Amino acid sequence: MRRQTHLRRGMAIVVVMMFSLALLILGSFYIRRFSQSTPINTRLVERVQADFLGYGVLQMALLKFKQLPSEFYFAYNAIVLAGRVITPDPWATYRGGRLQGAMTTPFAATYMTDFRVLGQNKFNSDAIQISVTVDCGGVRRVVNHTVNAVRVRN
Amino acid sequence: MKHHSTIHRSAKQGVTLLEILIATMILAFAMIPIAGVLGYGHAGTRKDFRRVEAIHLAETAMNEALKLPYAQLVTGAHVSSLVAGSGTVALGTVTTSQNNSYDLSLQVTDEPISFEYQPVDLNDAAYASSTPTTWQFQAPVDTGAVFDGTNARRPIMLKRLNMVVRWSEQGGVATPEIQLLSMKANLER
Repeated sequence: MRRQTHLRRGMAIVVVMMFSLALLILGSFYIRRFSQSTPINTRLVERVQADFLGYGVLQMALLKFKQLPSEFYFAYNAIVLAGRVITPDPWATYRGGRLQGAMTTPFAATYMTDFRVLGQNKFNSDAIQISVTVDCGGVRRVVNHTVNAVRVRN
Repeated sequence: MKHHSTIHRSAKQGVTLLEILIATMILAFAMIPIAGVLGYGHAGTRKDFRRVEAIHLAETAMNEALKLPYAQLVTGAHVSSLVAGSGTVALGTVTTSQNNSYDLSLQVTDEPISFEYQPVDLNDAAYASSTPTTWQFQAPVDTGAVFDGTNARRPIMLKRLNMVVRWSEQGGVATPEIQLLSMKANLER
């Protein structure tokens, strides 16, 4: 009887301490998870905004190429292929203007556009890759699009 | 001696009971702030969920709008579903399966645009079409490709799409709206 009493002494407080510790661990994990969820959602908005803005700039680039294909090839062949140095740079001019810039409303973002020509001279056709890079609140997204162009002489 | 031992054991049993009472009180007090934190965390998670849901709805509606042909994107403010020949964009008040309500609107505006480039002087005596070193580039101009809608030769060729989603938290507290921006060009002309 005495031995049994000796064993029981102090057990309740130990059990309660263990319960309290388990609850504290549970609570701290929960708080940590909650504190990390909000920044992830903030990034999600910026990612979606950057993607749609990139698509919009890409539409502008496609329209420009459709309306001014000769000017594109003049600038590309002279600067990129022939390696000429001209001031002002016609290749930079073609890729500039509305195809690169910054905006503050409805959200802050910067964007730039680049073109690459993946030539297929044998078939007189080109695959033109347009890349729009958007930076939206620190989130950087690249929207790529490739168009096939057939060279015809007017 | 036997009497003394009995008292001592009885005292020890009393201390154990007291410990249980104190421990229960500690546990009860510990539960109060933890329950509060759990409730706060749950409310925060629900708030985040609504935000993610709002983004998803706006993203879906914007994708649907961008899928429409250029000609079917009617300029103006669309506060209810946009019904076009090629499909419908769900706008206005949208209630999800979680019973959350969102207000989606789309503003379509004409976007005047002009493109800058440097023309090559084709009348230059040294010009040879197959020799890039002979090309004389002129100063940058932005008057050769203008699409501002001022006349039939300068039609509007670009539309700006601004999707806005709004919703309220519990208690009618309005949250900051989320806006998505994109553009659609007339590439069929």
